[in-house]
Amino acid sequence: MTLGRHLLLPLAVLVFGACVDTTPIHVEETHKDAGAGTSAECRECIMGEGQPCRSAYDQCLALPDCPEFHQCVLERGCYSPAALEDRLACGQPCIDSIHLTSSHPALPAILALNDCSQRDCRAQCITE
Amino acid sequence: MKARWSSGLLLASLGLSAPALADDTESLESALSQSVVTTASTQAESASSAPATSSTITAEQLRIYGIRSIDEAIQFLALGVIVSDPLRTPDLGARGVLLPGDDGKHFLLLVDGHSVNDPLYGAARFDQGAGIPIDVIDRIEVIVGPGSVLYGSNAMLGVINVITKLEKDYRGGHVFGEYEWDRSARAGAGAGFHFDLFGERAEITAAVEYFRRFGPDLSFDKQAPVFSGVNGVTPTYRRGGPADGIWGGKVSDAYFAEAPMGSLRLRVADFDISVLASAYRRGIPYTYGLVDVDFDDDQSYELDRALRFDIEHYAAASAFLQLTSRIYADGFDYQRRVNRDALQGCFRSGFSTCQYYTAGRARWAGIEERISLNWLKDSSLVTLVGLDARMRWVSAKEDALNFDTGEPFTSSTGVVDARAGLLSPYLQQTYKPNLWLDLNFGARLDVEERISPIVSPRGALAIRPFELTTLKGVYSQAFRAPTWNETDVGTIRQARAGSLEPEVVRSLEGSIEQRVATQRLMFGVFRTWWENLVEPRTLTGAERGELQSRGELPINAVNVVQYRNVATLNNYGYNASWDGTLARGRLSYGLNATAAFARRESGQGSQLLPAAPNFFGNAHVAYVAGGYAPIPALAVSYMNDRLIDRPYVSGFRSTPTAPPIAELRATLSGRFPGLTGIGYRLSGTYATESHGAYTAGNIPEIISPTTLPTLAPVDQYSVFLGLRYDFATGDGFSEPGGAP
Amino acid sequence: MLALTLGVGLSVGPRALAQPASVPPTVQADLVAKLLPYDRNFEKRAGPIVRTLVLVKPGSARSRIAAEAFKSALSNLDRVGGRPHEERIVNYEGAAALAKSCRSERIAVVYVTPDFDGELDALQRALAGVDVLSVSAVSDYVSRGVVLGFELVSGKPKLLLDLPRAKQQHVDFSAAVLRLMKVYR
Repeated sequence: MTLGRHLLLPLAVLVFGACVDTTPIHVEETHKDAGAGTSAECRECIMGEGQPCRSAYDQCLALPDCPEFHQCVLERGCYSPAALEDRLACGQPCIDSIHLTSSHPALPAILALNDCSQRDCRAQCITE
Repeated sequence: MKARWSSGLLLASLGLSAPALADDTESLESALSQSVVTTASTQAESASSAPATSSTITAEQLRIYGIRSIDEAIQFLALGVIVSDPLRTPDLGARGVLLPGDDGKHFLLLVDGHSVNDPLYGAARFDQGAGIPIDVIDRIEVIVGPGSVLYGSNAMLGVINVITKLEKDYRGGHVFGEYEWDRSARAGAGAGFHFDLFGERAEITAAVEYFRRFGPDLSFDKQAPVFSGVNGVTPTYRRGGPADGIWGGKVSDAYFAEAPMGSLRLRVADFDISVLASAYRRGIPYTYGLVDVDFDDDQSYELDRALRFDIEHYAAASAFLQLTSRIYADGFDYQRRVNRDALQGCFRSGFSTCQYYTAGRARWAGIEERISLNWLKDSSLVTLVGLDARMRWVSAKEDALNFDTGEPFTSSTGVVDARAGLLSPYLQQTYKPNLWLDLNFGARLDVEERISPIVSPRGALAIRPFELTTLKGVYSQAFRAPTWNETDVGTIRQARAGSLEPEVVRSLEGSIEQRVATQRLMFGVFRTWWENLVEPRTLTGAERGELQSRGELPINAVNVVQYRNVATLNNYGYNASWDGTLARGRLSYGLNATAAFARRESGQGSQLLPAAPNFFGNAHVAYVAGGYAPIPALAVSYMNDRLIDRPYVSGFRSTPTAPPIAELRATLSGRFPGLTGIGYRLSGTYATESHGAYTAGNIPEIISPTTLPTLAPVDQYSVFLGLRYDFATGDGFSEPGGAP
Repeated sequence: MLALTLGVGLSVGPRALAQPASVPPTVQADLVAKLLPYDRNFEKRAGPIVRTLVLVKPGSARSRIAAEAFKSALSNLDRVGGRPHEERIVNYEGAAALAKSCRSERIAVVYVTPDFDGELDALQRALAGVDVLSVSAVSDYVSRGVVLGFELVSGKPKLLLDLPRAKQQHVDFSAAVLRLMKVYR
């Protein structure tokens, strides 16, 4: 680290610069809807017999609310985004519909499906 | 009553002869060696009479021991207080109690009696962030133990009052510069002069200082990839670096700081007006706690700014009644920018780096009136009645931004916008009927809408059975009101706490001080009880779920903390100190030690305090020959082995500790012969250990239980050289001992 | 309340700055008591009883406070300069009257309280040739007419001595003590 690497902030700017703005920012989170739902390839990869994510799907079927949640995200095309936050933004209505919380019994299975879709069904599902 | 035993009689009765006096001025030197303090009771009194345990660090000590900041002064020269450096703002503890990441919340920092802890975070900085040019510091009074009786919130571990120089002690012009090899540079200037203003004598002392740190490079042990990362993508920890999942390596850009600061003090007639302005920008050298930052990122930083005004007026209405009035106003703001890989840190795709931007602002202003009733007119029986009325405004938020575009990708969280008043009447009664008895009783009531009214009492008794022997006993209480940051901030990582009870500490201490010629020995014991300690506690899954079902936390919130009143502390131990001079005052030295048993009691049972040493102390020695002879000085600080700062992780086979550490500072200072006014100081520091007690990098919980956590390094070696030029300082007086 | 204090404060005339912290009266008294024997003329000046006059500026509350505190502190000591002692507070009635009292009553020490800024020149002239030690806790007064003063430097009491003035008032401290003082020459 050499002297002068950083810009030397003038004393006046540092000390008397503009007041810190603490005004909250509101960002409209669009609930992304893929519109056409989930592609057939993606559905097959997740739910097809012997397919990579079938076991995770079977676990979901056995848990209360999980089948409804999964159907909801399929219809909204929420397996398309790559990142979790984007998937959450898409699936928020589904989350609200079953009152999904971190203690919901279906959550582990839902997370397992999410992981599997991003890892083993990446090529078939992720389009963004 | 005049009859008291003399110390000579005591010594004779103990079979000890009076000390062999090589110089018959030792009695006089002994009287001149005692410290006068003002912080403990707001009145000037000898330290042995003051209703608290205190130590005073002088301007000369700051100079000859190579001290450059308040935390260094405390570490090497103060009694009972310990400093621990996590490479961010230092943590301060006292008497075995140290709370990592505390931001100085449990010490009250005063500058000329003006409180600087802000109401939003409760923070006080003790390194260059304190914002006080060190050249203009006259002394630092360190009071150990609860001090809320006169000062209110935050004074739980102690009160540190930085008192600036008067014109008579800073007359003329002063310029200095210091360079620390490969590490930092500091430069400053100051002046002190007096003049007539509208027929009244006036004086000004002013100083500016600029500090910049640019090194050293730091090495963090590399941590092997420990988890698969988000979306199964191997994490990357350096912006633009490889996605190899390895955290650690060399930090060469992220350990930096800049701190411009200035102070101005104007005294005219009975007015004392002061202005302080400062800024403190520093890097975030490693991931810690809730702060997950890209490795060695020079674009992640924290920034404090402060502007403080204080006007005080003193009036003696009569020998019976004196009035002190004070108007003050402070502005403080804080910004933090933490950059992190977007996928790993913010679970977002579409851009590479996200930034969490925290902004907080606090303003407060108030009036304090103090009436002193001198009942017998000889200052032996004095009642002090005061009232502090203050208004505070705070606001804060946290934004999540796309680092490349600066655009937010989600709404602000952690929004705070509040104000509250504070009304604090207080009373102190002192009674000093003779030379052997000092009594001091007082209490303060703090009333604000966020907490129940709280009383902080104190009672102190000092008895001198012999002329040079003082027995002292003190009971005191203090509190800390929860900050808005603890109660009102809600983000993806922190749930709003709502209301919290204030922390309270009660303390009982006793001490004996014995002066023998120019030597002073002190031994004291203490016992403290802490209640309602506010700490961030990680929520259980069920607790998280409850908040999520109420919409107070998003579904994807994991590892969420919430501030709660969770713990009590039990603490007891002793302080011991010895200081003195020999060789007609040329050789001065001091040694002190503190041993404490401190335990935290909570739902997890009784635990040692993380990062808190239970044995620590310091020692110093210097020789001032006089004239142009260089002044050699050596200072040492020590703390014993202690737990690391996050030790209680299930699965560790043994609780990890940091080894004992000693730090030595050797300094040579003086003035160049034949070059009027030009002085120098050369100082080197060495630490015996290469790592401290602070964990860095991935949190231990996700590392294999058999792997010891990475500890933040300690800068083991450093050397600096400083030069200064003082001019127009003459007042006609020669210094004692003939020093230039 | 603030207006009251300002009103009170501004009603007093030009004066030295109020010291934010000064050497406590008990410490001052202790220092005076210990210092006197080091003056080679002390024995001859004081006689069997050490007498101290504490000057009060009429109308000055600040002066009265300092006077009462110092007198009380001195009264509490067993000995001053190793001898029995008396001290009393007197209202200042002029430098000439003070000099006369010092001579007639064999005063060893004159303690000058705050708010004597306008009187120092007269005091200096009147006490020249008088065998008395003048002392003040207002450090500015040393070099302006007072022989011995106290000041606080970094919380430690310091002694100030005006050496030419000391000679004029027959105060002759030994070298051993002079090295402990800031000396104005």
